[in-house]
Amino acid sequence: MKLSAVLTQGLWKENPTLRMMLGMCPVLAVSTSATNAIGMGVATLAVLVASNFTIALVKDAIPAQVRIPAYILMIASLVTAVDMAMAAWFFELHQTLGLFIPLIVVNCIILGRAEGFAAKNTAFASIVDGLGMGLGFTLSITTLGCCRELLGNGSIFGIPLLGDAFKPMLLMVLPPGAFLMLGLLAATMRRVDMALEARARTVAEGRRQRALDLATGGAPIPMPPGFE
Amino acid sequence: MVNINRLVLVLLVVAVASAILLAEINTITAPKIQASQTAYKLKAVQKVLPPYDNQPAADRQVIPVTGGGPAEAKVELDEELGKEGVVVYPAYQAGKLVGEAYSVISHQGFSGDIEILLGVSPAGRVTGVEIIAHAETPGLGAKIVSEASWKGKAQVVGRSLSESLVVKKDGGEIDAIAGATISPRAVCGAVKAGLEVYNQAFKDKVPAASPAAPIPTAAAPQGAHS
Repeated sequence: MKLSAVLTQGLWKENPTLRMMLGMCPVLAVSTSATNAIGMGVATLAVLVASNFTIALVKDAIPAQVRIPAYILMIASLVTAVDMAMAAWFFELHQTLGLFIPLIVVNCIILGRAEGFAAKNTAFASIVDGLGMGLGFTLSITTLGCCRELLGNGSIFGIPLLGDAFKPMLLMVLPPGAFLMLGLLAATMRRVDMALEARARTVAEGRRQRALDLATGGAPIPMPPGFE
Repeated sequence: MVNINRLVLVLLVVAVASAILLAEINTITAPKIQASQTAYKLKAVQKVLPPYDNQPAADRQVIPVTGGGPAEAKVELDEELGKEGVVVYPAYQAGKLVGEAYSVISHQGFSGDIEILLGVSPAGRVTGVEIIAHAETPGLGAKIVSEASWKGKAQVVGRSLSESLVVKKDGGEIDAIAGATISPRAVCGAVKAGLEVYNQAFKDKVPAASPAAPIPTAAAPQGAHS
């Protein structure tokens, strides 16, 4: 597969959150505000790139029978490292996200990409895949966070946007709001895809029609009897 | 035929490598994390106390108390002083005690404990409240952290035990947050419990006059400790 395709498939076609529906726990729990969502997204992105790279490097040395415990050990170490680094350099963000960072270990996107991609591809391609998937995750969770914060609190990234007249929909920052918004986003994505497919079909149809016109010299194709 | 020795060896190598990596990172980050935590707390200490000219962190006292109940003063081990109890940060202005700050924990948060730092004047009045740690719902209960989103945080300042420290919904005078009464109620409860502990255990325990000679104001501007 071409590297550019590896990079972009995580963004849309195989988007981990809105397409493959992987790693729902952090997505639903942390997307209450845009700031939290982007923090979680970036932390997951960092772990994903690092774990994909490490696993692609050592994949040949690890026997198939122990690959899962070995991968989990490596992923857990990387997550702990990210956790400690965040506590050291982004203390305030770590205070809000503290509980969810260790949970990245069990985010199935990480192990899924380790098994599904890094274990079969080169280190460089795995980094690119980690970047694509991580960005896809970050973008979806941040979009979800922005929508929920805007509707539930009238702000985005803590900046009030909707003014005092707006009455916040508290439901959106509570757990049910996460499910509702996630469903709406996944449906929107599907709708966009359907529109794109329909347009591609129309274009192909038009091209065939033109080719047909050319072949018959623009004359209408005579219909077989009984088709009028 | 699976070679068991090879499997064990591979897992061992991975485990040892992970352990070494984590130990290394821990040595780098541990002092930074400690410093961030202390700085965070000291920033809150500065906010809840009235103007002072001493160094509350250096003059801190550890007072043993018996806790319990839905809200209690936070008992911790001060490793530097080697004592266990409530860590009290006193504020002195011109050698006279003007306030004390200490942590109070409420077990009545919406999700988990809420730790507040409470500033109290020698007369037993609240001089300030800061939220140190909580796990309240972001965008809802979490609004307790800032005065802009929860007016009640400023309303408790200046009150003593003889005045209302109850949210309006429970018939008191403190504003709650629409849709999230539990969090402000827990903070009010912690303030009340903190004042009770003050009257029972802290009053007269902290020297009323500065233990050290007052630092000249020119050398150490008010609250400019770090």
